[in-house]
Amino acid sequence: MRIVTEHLSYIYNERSPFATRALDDVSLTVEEGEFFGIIGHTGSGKSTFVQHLNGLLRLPSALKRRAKRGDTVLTVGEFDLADRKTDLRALRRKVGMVFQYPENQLFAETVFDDVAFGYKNFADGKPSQEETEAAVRDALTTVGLDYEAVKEVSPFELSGGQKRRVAIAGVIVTKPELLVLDEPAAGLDPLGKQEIMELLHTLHSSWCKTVVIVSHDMDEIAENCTRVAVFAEGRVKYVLPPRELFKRTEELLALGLDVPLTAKLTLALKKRGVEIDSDFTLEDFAEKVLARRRTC
Amino acid sequence: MKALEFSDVSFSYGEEGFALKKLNFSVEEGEFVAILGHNGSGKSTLARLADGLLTADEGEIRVFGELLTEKNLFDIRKDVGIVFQNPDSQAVASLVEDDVAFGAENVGLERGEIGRRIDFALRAVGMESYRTATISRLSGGQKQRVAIAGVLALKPRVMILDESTAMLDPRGRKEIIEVVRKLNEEEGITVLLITHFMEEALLCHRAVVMNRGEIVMQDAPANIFRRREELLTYNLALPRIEVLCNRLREGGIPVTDALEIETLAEEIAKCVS
Repeated sequence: MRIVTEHLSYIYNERSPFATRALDDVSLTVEEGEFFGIIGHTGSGKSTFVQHLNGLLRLPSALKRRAKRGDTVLTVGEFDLADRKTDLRALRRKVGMVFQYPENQLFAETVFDDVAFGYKNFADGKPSQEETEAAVRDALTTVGLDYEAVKEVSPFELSGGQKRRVAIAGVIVTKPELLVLDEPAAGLDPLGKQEIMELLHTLHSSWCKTVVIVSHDMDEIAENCTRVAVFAEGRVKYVLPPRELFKRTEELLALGLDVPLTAKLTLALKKRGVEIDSDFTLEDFAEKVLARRRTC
Repeated sequence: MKALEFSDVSFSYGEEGFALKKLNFSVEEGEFVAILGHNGSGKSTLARLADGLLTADEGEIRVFGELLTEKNLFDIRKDVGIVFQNPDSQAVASLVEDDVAFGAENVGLERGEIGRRIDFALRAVGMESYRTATISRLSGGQKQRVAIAGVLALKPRVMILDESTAMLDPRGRKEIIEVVRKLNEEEGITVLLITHFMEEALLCHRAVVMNRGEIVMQDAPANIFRRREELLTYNLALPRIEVLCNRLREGGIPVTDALEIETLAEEIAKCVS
């Protein structure tokens, strides 16, 4: 699903002493098929932005919008979110949203019930037992769990990484076309992180054509994303592929953001008169350094 | 002097086998030790035993030479402070100073002394200007610093951080690590840092790797990360810089294992120009 945003602003607690401008005139387009990254500090507006994508936060009314800088546009695939009559249920079936620490949202007595909840909730009419079972089996298998082994187990008895998989299964069970994840790998051990990222790639190449991740881990961003949006103080500072973005290491560091290891090294080498032009993945960086060595 | 000493300590949570198996482990006073291990390897169990939140099934635990028993538990907890993972679930009060005072009030310190302890603790974590702030309005890193201050107000000699940086953003993580390093260097507090971030372990004097309730490796961090194959068998990943170094070595660039960006850049530069 293609996401088009123009002139999007959002203020929390508007017209109160606690009013905070979280988004300030954001324009951003994500193409269908991308593995899109969003980075920025805590409080930069990332989460506020992604919560608009499935209608959890709504645009202000048309009257208020007209008074602003330009016409606010927000479309996700065929859904126009500026239109108050948009069918949010249909939208949410197609836009899966995985929050931070999604395992905190597990609630049912068995893994099966937990994953089935979303499916039943979003199905047209009442799905048959067979349909539900097939969907749940499919979702659990896709996230790498053994359906027969876990279906009757309480989700609370699983390990951290497994819980997170169950939570993701509960979202992808409706086969969303767009999957949005807020820090999908946070808090996991290094192996768990790696496995979650592999899972996202599997999903990207099968069910969910477009994936948007919010992340603080710049190495993760450099290794995985097609393009990256940098949020700062409610605005979009850059939208670039990692290869271009991390050439601006100094600007990013000035914004108080981190950069991947490869970018730090590229900068340190540049100071020593060695220019390495890589796409900032570890593999490519090492390759370019080694190629440089062979030619001298 | 040994700050912590575990002798043949075993512990299990019910019937599900051992969480810790005949563990022998000690930490010198003033040391800064990282504890690594995948989820479920026994790291947090070790932390909770050291603070008396759990009681060992077998074996002895000594804190500054004194045997940990149910009788001296409360005294020993003044020496051993622990900070947990979630910045949102550790505060007991709504204002910073009330929260920092909680532990000190609990052990019955007199009022003036509590005030001085709050000053000291907030200064140590760089939060003195937030004394009367509302905790719920702070960032994750700031909340964790308040949690650390609450522990510091008891003037502990050992501080255990049980994945206290796991839920923070990079800036928050840096804040915490800097505070902890400073406490270790300037106040001489012994630190046990339980973490999943291999980069954080690089800053410690010694790294300890746990697997299935046992200590399987302990050495200087650089030495630990040199034993790549072994780490992988314990489901641990190498720090990225080490992965890169390995990759360069395979390709014929003889980098050392300084594991530091500027040094590595210097070595690469020498080799390619």
